Amino acid sequence: MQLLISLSVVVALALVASSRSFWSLRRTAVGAVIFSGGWVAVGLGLLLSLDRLALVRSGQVSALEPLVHFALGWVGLMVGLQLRRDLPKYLPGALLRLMAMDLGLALFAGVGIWLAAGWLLDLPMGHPLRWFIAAFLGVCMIGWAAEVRSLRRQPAQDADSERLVRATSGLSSVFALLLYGMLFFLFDTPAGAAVGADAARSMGTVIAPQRILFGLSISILIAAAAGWLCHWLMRLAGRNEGHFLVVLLGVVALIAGAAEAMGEPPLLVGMLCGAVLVNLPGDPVVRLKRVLLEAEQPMAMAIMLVAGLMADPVLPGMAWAVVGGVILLRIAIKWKLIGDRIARTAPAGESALFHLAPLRQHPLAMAMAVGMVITHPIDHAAVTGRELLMMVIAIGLVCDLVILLGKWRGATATEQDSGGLVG
Amino acid sequence: MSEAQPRRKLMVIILDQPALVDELLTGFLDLGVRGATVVESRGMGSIIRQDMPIFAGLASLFPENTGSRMVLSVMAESLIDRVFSLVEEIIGGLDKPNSAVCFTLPVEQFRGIRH
Amino acid sequence: MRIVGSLVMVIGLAALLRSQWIGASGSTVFAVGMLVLCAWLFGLLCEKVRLPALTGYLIVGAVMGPYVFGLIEQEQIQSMRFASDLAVALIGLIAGGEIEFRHIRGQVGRLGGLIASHIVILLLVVGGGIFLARPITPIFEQADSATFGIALLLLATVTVAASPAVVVAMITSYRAAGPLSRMTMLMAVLKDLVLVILFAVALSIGRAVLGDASTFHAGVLLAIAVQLVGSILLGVVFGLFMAGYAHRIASHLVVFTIGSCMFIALLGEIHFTVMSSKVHLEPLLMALSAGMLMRNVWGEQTESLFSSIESTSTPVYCLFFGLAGAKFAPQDLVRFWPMALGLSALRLFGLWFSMKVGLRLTGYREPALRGAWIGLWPQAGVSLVLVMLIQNSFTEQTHAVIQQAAAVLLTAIFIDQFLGPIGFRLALGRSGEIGRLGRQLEKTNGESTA
Repeated sequence: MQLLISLSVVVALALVASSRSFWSLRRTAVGAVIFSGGWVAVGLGLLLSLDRLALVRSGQVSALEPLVHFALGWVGLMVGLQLRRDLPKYLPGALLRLMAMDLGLALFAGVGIWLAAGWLLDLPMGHPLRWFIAAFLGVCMIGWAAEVRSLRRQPAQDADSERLVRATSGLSSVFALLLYGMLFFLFDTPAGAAVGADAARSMGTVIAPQRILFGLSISILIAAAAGWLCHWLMRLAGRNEGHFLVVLLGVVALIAGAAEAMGEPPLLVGMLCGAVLVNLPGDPVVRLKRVLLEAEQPMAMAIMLVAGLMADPVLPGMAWAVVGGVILLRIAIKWKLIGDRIARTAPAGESALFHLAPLRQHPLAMAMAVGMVITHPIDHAAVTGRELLMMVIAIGLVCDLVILLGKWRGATATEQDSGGLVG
Repeated sequence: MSEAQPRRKLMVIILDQPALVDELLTGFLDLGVRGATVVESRGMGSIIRQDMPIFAGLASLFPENTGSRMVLSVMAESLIDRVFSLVEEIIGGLDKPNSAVCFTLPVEQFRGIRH
Repeated sequence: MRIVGSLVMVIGLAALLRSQWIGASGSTVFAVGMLVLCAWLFGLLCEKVRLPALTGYLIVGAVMGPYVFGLIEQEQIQSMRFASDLAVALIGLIAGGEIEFRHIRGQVGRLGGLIASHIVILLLVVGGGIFLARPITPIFEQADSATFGIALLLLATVTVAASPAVVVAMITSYRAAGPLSRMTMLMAVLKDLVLVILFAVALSIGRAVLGDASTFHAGVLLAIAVQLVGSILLGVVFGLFMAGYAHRIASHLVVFTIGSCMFIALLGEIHFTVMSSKVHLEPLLMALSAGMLMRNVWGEQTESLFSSIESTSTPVYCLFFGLAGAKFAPQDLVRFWPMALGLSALRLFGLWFSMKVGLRLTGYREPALRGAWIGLWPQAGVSLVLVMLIQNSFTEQTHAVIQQAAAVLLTAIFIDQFLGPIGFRLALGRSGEIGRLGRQLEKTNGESTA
């Protein structure tokens, strides 16, 4: 009960914070990073879950699971609704090369993490959990945050660099979700596996490559049927706001619930459903997209809050070493290689900041980690799902701090430059 | 000497649902409004959201995500009430959030194409 | 045809998923999706044949529920209980928002008189009827006088309950406005406030007489007072907060509405002790006070909030009434139908008679009000909770008669729940108030733009 009340209070705060009254605050560089990264919600979640405060016990968090599944389905649908048939027409030219580099980096990072995990977390070479950690953190490496406000020095100008950052971020998130879904199928959890030792065994022992095809086919089947059904029902609902909401909430609940019950990721099924829906003809989709996008901020806040609540803030030293390694990889490769290419398209005076753009972790990584914790719980001596979630949070937070530091240094340098000119 | 012109007003309608523009224009014709200009417009929220997306980075790339349409039409004052009712009927209630905004402005002089 | 096709598609998809991959235990989220969509579609179908959509929601719930096809399991109903509480809060906000003081100014005394006379006469009619029917009622054959007396008292008290939820849902979905709608709403809401006190007293007397749990003492009354006043005060605070949000921030109103209702529902789950009696805050009362405050003090500023609440109401009604229907057990109907039908008929007669006398005594002359008694026919949420409290207060082993009486009452409530909305729909149709709200709005807009 305490948890739900705390949740209500926090959601209310999130609503207030995401409201128009706070727009001016959100539009500063620090505000943009904090709000788009969901750090207020994550911080509150971590605070609430602290043992010392005893506000929320970990068992109580499980009461939120149906709501979390629903929210993940919603986010998946939002991502999928971007996948229009004519999408390639709107994508900047340099995007594919950037994406290929980014995916290559994720693969490289995955291999690095696999190697490090054996040594740091003491997992034998063939242990499925070692593969899972490497693959999962590798998937979380894909893409970057789409928010560009914090990178700008000048007022809005919709430059090529901004479009490139947003477009690559958007498309990468789609690939990340696809790969994330495959992870679920690859690392099988037998139906009914309990949280705790059983789940650890299940996650740690079963790798089922044959399930990828089956799992993906089922996901596509459910998504296609639900997408078509949603389209049909939206036409039936017409312009009636209440009926429209029934269809939206009903279909999201149906796909998220079906995915949950079948051990499939609601994010993936939601995304596939969105992709089907957006490519069916008719007006309802435009309205659907608008409603989903309007709720993006509160929905993100809710997921981030749950991420904070579920994460285990006390990471063992070795896990911090993995986090440090991933951050170094991001800085060394993403910043250096990919950032360089983005910076070339940035307006004069902003290239240094756009250099940093690929460094930020995509907020979807947090949603994926939350989905992983509730659908595929890991409770192994080497690492738990909650620790993995905390690792994702830590990586995101440090990278965002680096961005702010870069912005601050850039601002200081500019002041000095202009001072020199004037002087 | 120019003929006495009826009193006119500029009707501005900002529709949050672009799909309804067609229906609105058809309604205009039925009411006797013979011309209007439709401008692709963008709400403040949409602009602010564009550079701060969280999960949906691609959404801002598509043209229809500008979100709204502004319909401008100079019409006889006598038609104004009926146009308001038409908008209300098409939208299904102007009291709902994210439906439409409409208002009129006085027109002091009018020159140009007469239908 | 499209609706039937859609319904077949939704059921087909859900059945396919359940049979092939999901399994019987399924997922609560999946059950919610299935229930909401099916209830909505069947509601549309009912409207096509001039039945209230609400009846459709109830039927779908009953059919999908654990006692018929078992598409929704008992545990899932339990885990969806929170959604029900949330719906009660939303309904309370709508009901509160519909009560405008300007409409009842100057007639508080008359209205109070009407409610009092209605309750007293209804209690006498139902109580008298049960007393007279004792020799032919099988469940009372073995009962001693004390047990029979308590059973009579509890049965009669619960029959006073109306269903503000059904009344609000019907009035909002038919956009009805006029004296009948207004009076029915007021009666249903205000009567339930009195009922909370009446029932608490009756239950305490029952426990004291039959020797269960605590005994009746003055502290019980104090606890009830704390419960009522506390709920109203908290509702006022909440109303202030909501009005402030709607006025100053005014974004994400739908999410805010759902979040607020969630919070109100949660506050209702908190229990505390007053003079050794367990007390909890009443979500319906909190939401009602919040809604009334907002409508009557900051009507203009909160208009957009009420619009959002209204647009959110359809999915909430689908879920709430669907869940209410899912609790229906046809076995009980088969077992107790003669007594349940008798009780239902007695209550219906009592409603008609008490309103007729009450209206005459208090001097209400509008012809439209003659149909107000039908609006009080449906019973749902509050009555079901009261029956549950009776069942929990008296154990099966020691008080089999009370338990059986509760089962009869439950069956009668389900009968009223299914037939009541149909009756109210007819009454609204006959009074010409259906759709009048839309016409009034158009007229107001016309005047303001002219």
